[in-house]
Amino acid sequence: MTSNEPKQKAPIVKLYPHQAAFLDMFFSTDCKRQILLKGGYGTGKTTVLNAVAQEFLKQRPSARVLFMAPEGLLPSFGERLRETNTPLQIIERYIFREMLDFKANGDFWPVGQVNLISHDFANKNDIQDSISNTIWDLVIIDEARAFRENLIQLFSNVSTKSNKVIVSSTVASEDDESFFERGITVVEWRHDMFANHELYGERYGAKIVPRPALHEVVYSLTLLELNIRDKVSDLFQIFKHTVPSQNLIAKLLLKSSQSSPAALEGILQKMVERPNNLESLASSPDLAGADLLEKTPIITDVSDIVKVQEIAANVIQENYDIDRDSKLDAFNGLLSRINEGSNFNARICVITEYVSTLYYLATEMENQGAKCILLHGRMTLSDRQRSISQFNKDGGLLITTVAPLQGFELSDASDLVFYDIPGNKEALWVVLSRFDRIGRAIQLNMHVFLPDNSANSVIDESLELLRKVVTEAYNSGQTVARLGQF
Amino acid sequence: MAAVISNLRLLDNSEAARGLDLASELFHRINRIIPQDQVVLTIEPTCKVRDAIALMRKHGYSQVPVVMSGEVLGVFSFRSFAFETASASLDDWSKQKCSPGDLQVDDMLEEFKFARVNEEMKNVFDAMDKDNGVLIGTPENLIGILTPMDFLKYLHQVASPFVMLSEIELALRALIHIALNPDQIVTVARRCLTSIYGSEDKVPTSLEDMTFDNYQSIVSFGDNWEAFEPVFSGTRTRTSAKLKEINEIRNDLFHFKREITMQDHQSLATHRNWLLSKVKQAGGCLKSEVSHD
Repeated sequence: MTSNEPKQKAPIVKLYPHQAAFLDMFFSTDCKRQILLKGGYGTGKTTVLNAVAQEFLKQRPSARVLFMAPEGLLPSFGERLRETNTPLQIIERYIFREMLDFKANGDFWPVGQVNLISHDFANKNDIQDSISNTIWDLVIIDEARAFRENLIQLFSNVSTKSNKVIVSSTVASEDDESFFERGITVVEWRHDMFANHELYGERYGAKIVPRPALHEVVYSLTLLELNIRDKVSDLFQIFKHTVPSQNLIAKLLLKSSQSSPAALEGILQKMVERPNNLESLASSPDLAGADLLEKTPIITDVSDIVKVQEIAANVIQENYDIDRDSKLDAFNGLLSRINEGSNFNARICVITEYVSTLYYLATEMENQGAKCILLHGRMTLSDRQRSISQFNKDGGLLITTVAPLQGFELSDASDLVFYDIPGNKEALWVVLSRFDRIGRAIQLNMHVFLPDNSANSVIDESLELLRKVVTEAYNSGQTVARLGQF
Repeated sequence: MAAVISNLRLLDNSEAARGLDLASELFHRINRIIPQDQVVLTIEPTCKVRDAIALMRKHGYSQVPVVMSGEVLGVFSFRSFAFETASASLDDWSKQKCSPGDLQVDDMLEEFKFARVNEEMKNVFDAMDKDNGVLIGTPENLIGILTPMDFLKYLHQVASPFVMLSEIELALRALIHIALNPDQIVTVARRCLTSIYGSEDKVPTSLEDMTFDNYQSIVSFGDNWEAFEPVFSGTRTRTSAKLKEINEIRNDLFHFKREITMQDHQSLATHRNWLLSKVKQAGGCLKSEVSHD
């Protein structure tokens, strides 16, 4: 871009009234130096943080701005800033090295742009030092929860040297305020303020819709499927030790067997190939939470290794022989029921934790002549955006893993199908918050699958967690209903 | 994750962009080869040889830069230690009245070449060959250290998906050959590829002339599954799902849409091994058929 070219006018970000009020407060002369923005998922914190960064650079084009966010959110933060023509640079190791090489005398963090950096990268010793030794005009820290564990010292250094600091926190906690000096500004966007849309709706004209409802879809496993579950349980026993990593592998085994034959096969194949190497399992493309695992051998006993290989190979073979997938049948039944019952263009989003299950479902849909839209972590950001736009515009079936949903809004979806239930509260909130957002115009129906003839403690835990989160979120015991037998 | 191309669109808006060498995002330069999580270990010149070697063993390094007041003085390595130790006579050691481990590392330094992060890989080959390592940055601003193993790992990471995809494609071709005779290949190709190629006479009749997309279509086509089921076993949906996943990674890789991740590597490896097992099983069946004949 040359100076002769006309400057592009920055697009105006549409803000809800509470977001606009925050922006006014931030740029008012009596605003305190440090601000804590507490707010539940789906309340629009991300939008307002971006708007602050955009407006700050507009008012002070030579300001030095640091924006720290969870790794997974960097691309969407970056894209949102780009949409408003806000200069930015995602700083990661390679860029940082170039900055070092380019200007070694310390003061090398660029001005006039948002320096966007992940919490994890900021946590590296050399990066912490570099950030701490810089005077920032504005520091924005998104998701202080993720930040709290390791970066308190960095926060302390940065906040004392910076002219303005905003920290956002999703789960409101009294501890959040312990970060700060006395006399900070605390802005709280309470969940009930938006969860009960009535308040917001009456004041600002949003349509009032019933709260989301959870439906449990019951189905029965065949004898062959039950037999496989038993074999998986044998493997589970080998891995189920008190060591957290082994216990996690055991749980992942059960979860994969619950997800789909494709997910189970993927994990079993790795067990056959490298049974004594935890890393090969931990870095499986499918395994959520793999980063929790230590890079140590899972099992060291040779007899156990042989046993694992034998059982896994056996189950793979039996898994191949199964020509009926009861859960998939139930899923197909559910889709028919949703499509028959809706008098509008249904927008159905299916959540799985496994990429292999995602492709399995997509292929099944294609075999039936139905088109579906895919969303998973390996897609480029532009491909992800294309998927989301297509789904929001045309409706249909979106099959997605959990992580890439972050940063997107799916408030027009009519149905949310948990083909797999995310195993932790955090992930569940990530999912729910994408769908149950301010501005939702129709009720969200959530569906979960429940085998009635197989005991699986991991699934029981996940389902219990989902019920709990839904009840907490929507403050109603009426939302959980059995949809019936398939 | 390495610098993503999407960043490039913005660099021209910022002051920093003018100083950053954008070519390093597009070309395989030294910056890409330095391990992302590398933490440069340095020691002071007064460090005892014994302590330095203990430190190097602990971290699995064979060399370590020696730094004083932020400036690199040289490199202490197993090699520099061996040279100095071997060149001293018994008389020399007797005069020093100490063992080699008691000496300071600054008595045993060697000089390494420096390279900038934006340099071409080939520029450091000679230095790498001579010294077994290159320092990155300048003596006053040490950014990293590069070893032959870093090169090897990087090149393997870049090349291995292509190698695995070639194995996958050839294995899939072989399995289709096993499942169908040449006449059947022509029949199924016409059946399921005519709509793609526009007319029957344009459909390739030899597997060698077909694309991976074509293979996927042939195997996944409903009416063809009866022929493929004995070779692939399982269900058509599961086999097709695997081929679909491979094809998407392949397209991303061959069209350079994005960087291939560790997860992609894992997926390709898993699917490659799945096809290998199918080739082995099919090969075993063929042998057994031949022996029965």
